[in-house]
Amino acid sequence: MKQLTRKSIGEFASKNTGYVTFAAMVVILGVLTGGGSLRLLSWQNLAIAEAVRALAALGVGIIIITKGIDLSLGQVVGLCACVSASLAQTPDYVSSLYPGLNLPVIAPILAGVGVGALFGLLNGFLVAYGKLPPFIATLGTMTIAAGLQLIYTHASTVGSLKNEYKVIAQGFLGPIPNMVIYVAIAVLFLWVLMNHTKIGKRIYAIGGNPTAARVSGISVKFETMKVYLMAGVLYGIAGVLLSSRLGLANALTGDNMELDAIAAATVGGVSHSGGVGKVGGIVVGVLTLGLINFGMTYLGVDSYYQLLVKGFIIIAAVYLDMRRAA
Amino acid sequence: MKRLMFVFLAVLLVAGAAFAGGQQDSGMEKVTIGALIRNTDEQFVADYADVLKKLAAEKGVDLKLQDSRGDMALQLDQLNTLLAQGVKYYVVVSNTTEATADIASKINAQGGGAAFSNIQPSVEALKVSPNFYLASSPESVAGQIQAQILDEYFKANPEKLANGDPDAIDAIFIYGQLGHPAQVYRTNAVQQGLKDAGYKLNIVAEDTANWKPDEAQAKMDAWLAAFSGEFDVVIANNDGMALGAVESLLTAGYVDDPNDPSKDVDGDGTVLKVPVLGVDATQVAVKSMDEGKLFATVLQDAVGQATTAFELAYMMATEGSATGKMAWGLSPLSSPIDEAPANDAAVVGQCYLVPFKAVTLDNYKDFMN
Amino acid sequence: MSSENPYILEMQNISKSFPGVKALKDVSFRLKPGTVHALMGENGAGKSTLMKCLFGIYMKENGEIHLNGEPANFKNSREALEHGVSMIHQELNVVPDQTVMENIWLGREFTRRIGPFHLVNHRKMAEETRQLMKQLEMEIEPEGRMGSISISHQQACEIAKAVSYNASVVVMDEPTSSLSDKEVNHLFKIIRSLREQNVAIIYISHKMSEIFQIADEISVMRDGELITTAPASELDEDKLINLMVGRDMSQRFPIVEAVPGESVMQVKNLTSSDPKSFKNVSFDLRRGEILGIGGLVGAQRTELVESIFGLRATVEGTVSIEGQDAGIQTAKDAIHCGMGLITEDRRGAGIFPQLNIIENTSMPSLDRLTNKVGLLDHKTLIQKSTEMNEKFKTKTPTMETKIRSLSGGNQQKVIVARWMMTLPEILIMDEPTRGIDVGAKYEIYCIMAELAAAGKSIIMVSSEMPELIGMSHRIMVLCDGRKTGELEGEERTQENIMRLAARFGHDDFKEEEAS
Repeated sequence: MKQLTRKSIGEFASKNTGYVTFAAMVVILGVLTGGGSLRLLSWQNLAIAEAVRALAALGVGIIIITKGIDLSLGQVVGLCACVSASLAQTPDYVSSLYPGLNLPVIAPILAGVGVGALFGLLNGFLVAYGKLPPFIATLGTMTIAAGLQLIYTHASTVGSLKNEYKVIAQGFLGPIPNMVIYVAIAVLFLWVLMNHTKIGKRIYAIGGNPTAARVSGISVKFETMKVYLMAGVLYGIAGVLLSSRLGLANALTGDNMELDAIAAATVGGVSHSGGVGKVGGIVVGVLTLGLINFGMTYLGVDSYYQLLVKGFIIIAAVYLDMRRAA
Repeated sequence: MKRLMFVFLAVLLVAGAAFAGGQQDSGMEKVTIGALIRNTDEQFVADYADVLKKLAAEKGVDLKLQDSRGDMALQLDQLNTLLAQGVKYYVVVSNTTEATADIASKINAQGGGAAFSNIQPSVEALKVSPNFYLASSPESVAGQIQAQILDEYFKANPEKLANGDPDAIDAIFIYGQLGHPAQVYRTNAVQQGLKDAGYKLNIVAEDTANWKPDEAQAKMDAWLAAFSGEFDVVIANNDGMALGAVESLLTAGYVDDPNDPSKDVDGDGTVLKVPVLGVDATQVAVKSMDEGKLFATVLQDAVGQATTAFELAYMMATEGSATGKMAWGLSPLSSPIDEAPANDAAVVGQCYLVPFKAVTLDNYKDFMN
Repeated sequence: MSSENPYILEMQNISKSFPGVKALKDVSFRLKPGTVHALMGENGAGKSTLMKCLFGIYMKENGEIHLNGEPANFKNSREALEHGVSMIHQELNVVPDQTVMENIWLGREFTRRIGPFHLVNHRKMAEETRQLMKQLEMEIEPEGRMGSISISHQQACEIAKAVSYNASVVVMDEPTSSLSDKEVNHLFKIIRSLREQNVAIIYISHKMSEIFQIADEISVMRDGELITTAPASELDEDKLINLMVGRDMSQRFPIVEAVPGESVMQVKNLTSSDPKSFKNVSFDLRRGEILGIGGLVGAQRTELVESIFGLRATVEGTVSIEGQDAGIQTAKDAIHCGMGLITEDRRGAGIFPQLNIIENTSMPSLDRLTNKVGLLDHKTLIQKSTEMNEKFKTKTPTMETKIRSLSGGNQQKVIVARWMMTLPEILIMDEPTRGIDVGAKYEIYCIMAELAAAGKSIIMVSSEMPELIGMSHRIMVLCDGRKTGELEGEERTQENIMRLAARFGHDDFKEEEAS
């Protein structure tokens, strides 16, 4: 057995700063809220609140690992939410987008995920084959998705969703919110993909050195395309779950989510210089920012100051990460 | 390790601030009211929140105010957090009508109640329990009042319809952020209101300026180049954009008398060739009216709405119920009106309608501070 | 300035250690003004650590540094530069989109005052630059864009920049690594002119022939210690190698025992899609053969081998494997045909810096290491990667170490291991020993000899003629994208290679094109 010395604890802490930080925050917040934040209900709330963001952050996280970026995330999630919601409205609702339409619940899910996949393909194509800088390509698709969202919804709210659709995200399995299960599946899938398949290794290789990847027989374009496609599918799922959770979707749904997701992935240790990032890290990044949100709401911190604190934490996390990497 | 320390510090800092604010409140048997506020970036909502804070301070209420910055999902998270802390009674400015039923059910599950302002709750939300109230002047009323003001204007100055299609109101619309509830409801209502008053409406140009004066000014500059002399009126979703348009028209010399741009030659109430309308009755806007530039605006009464909603929540928290009681001197509606949710007889008793006020040349002085 | 002191720079008893390694042990190094002092040693011997201590990039633990008899403890290279100690890095630090003069005077532009504004005085800057160029007998237009002039000219500009700071000590790290012979001669001319102006030069290089051409004194480092300092005239190549590796190395190259067999690859009339690149190149490669490809910089050797490997497009010609047109379009196709490519640019196109040795080794072999479900067979992957690296004696703390923390020679071994894991029949090695130290070079040569003996075929592109002659069965020479000849057996001499490599003067080539 390895002896637990002060040094080995220190080493563990510096190798796993993300996890240690998160654990420390849980403890501190628990003390500050007099145990209120440690109750099951608080954990359920935190998990539900962060689930959609977690899926989005996983998607953009693997893109960042390839040294890309995706600004279209928020608008695509919003568009997927709108499309999915529009096919899940109660048939007798007068302001329904398709009055009288009554499809099985699988239809809106597939439609939402499908729209996400299409945008993923479009982004991937523009970046990999069109050779556009990812920032610009996804800035374009972001604007397109925002426009489509307005056109599709006629700028009004798609509401009155069926109960069997809402229960997808709002339901519980015992004490565990359904949302947690979906995220767990996505995390497991991506963890296996990134660590135990050649696709994952190739994603890291492309991010680390695309030229060397090409020499090693990796078709960089095709693999890059796959990454954006996977991210698109994740956004699609996120959109479906978001509309199911809110029981509605409109043109504002998903706005600015790209910033939260990119911040979470970054805080979770995904490097914007490519080739570095762990699935577990992204999850911890989402939870860390989520816990800060949750804690500040719980403690009644003014919303304006919440933004300040979040901003500082993002900058500090990245700064220290870069110094550690240097 | 340093990152660790930083986050420790950040959290301690936040907690310290929170304790400093929250400590003297805790331990007492105090009334707690949660306030879920849509987005304080907007003037009306910001004023509304300020009134709530003032009222809470007066009554010694622990007000837990949360700004969702326009994010429906965040608003839901904030509600969950407050519910988990045991907060039962709420004042809600929701992000969208369609979410109000869910909000009401969640609060009701904890045996609480809420008053909705600004964005109307749905009929279903009010039907959740008698402890849910409407304390609002719906956004659409702002649009309706704009239509009424214009109706009076064109009745008094029929020659002003001559631009473009002489049989129609040729209008330029400047919208807020597309899809934003205030944009949607205000726009639909003013357009419908003009049609209902018997006018043919011809939209010469329309676009969003995202609530911003500078964007509105740039849009107006472009339209002036394209449609000079072809429009009768400029209608904006808020005062900021209306003032941007006014600025553009002044700069371009689109006034009654280019030699003396401060002279209202035709006596229609504005020095500009066409009237420009906004919503909000901000101080800058009222001052512009005083100078004869902006033609009219609409006051959505933040004090009235906030006070009504707050008093309803306070009565529920202290007396167990507010059913049938007066709030801000208003009685609940006794019979249904045209507009949801107060059109449903089952919930009219839960509806407190705070009047909107047209701010025109006749009365603008009352709104100057 | 103390006139009795014969040394411009003295570094005394310098020590520095890193976790687990004593990088410098009591090193004393003295530099006389107006001399070229070669600093030699294998990679990891401590040369760059010593220089980093001089420039304040590392904090020395012990010892003293004196410049002109004054204590000198620079905090960073900028401070060193201001005191007349300058370094020309192997990778040049130029701003390609600015002009030559802007690069030279970066951060201390001449200005003139117009009203409240201090504006850059371009005319004065150009004038000063021209003066500087004249002093160094360089012909570079001050207002040309840095990125549009050749690497050797860029390097000359860096030297000019050092001179403009009145440098008394200039450190040059592998200055000839990307220069052609002609450019090297020009560089030497500049160095000699600096020496005449009493500037002292520390010259770090692995290239023996250059050292003896240019150096006045030679210091040799090994394992963090300074072994000896001696006048260049007292040493020769073999002595120097012995000092550097600390063992007798009468043989610089192992004996290649393999005897070439039947033809395995046939290249016919291969022509690049880039009209400025290679044309109509044909050759055969035999089993167990090491085929050298020689030529000057710009002969299009790298372009040729990368095209064979599917990384660049061709418009004409075929690459056949055992008589069949292989139809290679991408690197993936080439790997399927049993080829491997060790690229010239190890950092840019070889290693995955943030990945560990296992991942770096196994990357092209992942297809074979994936089971039916699509999951990687980690056990085999780790085992095979480890075996390969052990076989090639990669020196690393663990197999999980990130490759970027290894020395150049060890990185190269990982890359050789990478390609051997794909079980190739044909291995293309582009400048396989560039930038790696003598000991590691010998090990790479041994690996090549072993591979050939095992029946693998190797194409080696190299700019070092002794390497071509020492290792190849046959040498193909290119000049300006044309094959100018093949040399076998006794024909493989430096003179013959040079003759073929310079077959076309640039102008001759143009005329032939026109006719």
